[in-house]
Amino acid sequence: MSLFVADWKPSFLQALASSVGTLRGQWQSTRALTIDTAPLVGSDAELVKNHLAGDPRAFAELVKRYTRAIYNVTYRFTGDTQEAENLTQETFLRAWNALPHIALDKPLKPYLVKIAVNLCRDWAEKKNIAQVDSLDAVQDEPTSEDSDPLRTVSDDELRARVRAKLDELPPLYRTVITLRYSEELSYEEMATALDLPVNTVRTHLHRAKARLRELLENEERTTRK
Amino acid sequence: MRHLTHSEIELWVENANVSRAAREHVAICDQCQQRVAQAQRIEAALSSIARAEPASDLSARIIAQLPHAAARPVSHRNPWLGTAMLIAALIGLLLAYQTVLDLSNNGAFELVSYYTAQPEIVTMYPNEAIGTLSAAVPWATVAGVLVVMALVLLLMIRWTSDAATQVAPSAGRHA
Repeated sequence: MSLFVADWKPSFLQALASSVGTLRGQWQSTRALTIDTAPLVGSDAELVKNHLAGDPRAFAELVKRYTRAIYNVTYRFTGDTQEAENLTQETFLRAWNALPHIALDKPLKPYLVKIAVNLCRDWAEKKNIAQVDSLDAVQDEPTSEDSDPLRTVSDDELRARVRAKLDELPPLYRTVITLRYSEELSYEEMATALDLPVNTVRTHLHRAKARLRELLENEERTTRK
Repeated sequence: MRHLTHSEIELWVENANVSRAAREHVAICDQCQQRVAQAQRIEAALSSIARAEPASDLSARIIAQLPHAAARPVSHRNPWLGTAMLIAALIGLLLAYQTVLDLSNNGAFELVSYYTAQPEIVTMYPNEAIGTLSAAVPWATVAGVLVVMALVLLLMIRWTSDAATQVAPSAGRHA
């Protein structure tokens, strides 16, 4: 009889634990199914919130959403595929760590670009690459020379030359042009990304284009000679 | 008016604020018209430059390198749940102790020893033997112990489940 009593309690508990385990398993399966099949849409802020709440797919979606933009920035800055990939990856790793501290009411893209640009600047410093050169020599007053030396160049040819000369600009000028024309950031967003006042960003962009124009005109004049 | 400076040409191209005098000058100055036209062509060329395209698997590689493994469960356990579990466990222990006392006071242990020493009694008079033993068992207290144990088990599962589902990135420095 004592054996009967002794066996009875564990068997009850085992049955209870088994039932609870089964129910828990079913609940988790249902939960997982719900999460996996739900479309992953939403604003950046919603994805960041989901990421912070523990949804690992939310940050993956942000990576998919911004890999091209960040790679574009890092590649234009470094001009090197491998370095650009490394810096892009590092950008997202930094963002992963920093997201708990960012303000969710601001656009995420300039913030990610800011991380990328900072990493690029660090990279340039390590490589002793000048990010800007002195443009004091760039004259604001037009010269009396030919006012449009590129007028005989076709649009396609001009595009190719612009693309080639872009690579000859200092990294920071390539970056401001990339942010403005390729990533289509506003001056305010560029200011956030570059951590500079808006007017300074505007000045950088004007100088970058002035240097680009100089390079294009000089090449055309050299070709004519 | 003098010719437009490059800065003024840039403002013109961006459709920003350009003075009326500048507009009037450009309207009559061939050189400035040509410079504006050139700047607009360069602007268009810049806008047409395609993005540098990453390798198609770069996103996947980045996602694979994210610190999922380093993501640790953060203790978001409900403190009230833990407190309730502890209280329930204490009540369960007290009830279990009370059950043992009742079994002892009712002579259940002696009865079991008696049946063990003389099993033929159980064989010959099973109904009476079981009835006597049953009368010595404090069923209400035993039921209370089982209910409280089940409650503790459920609270424990819920408590561990809460912790397992909460995963957050490790804290890091600002960008």
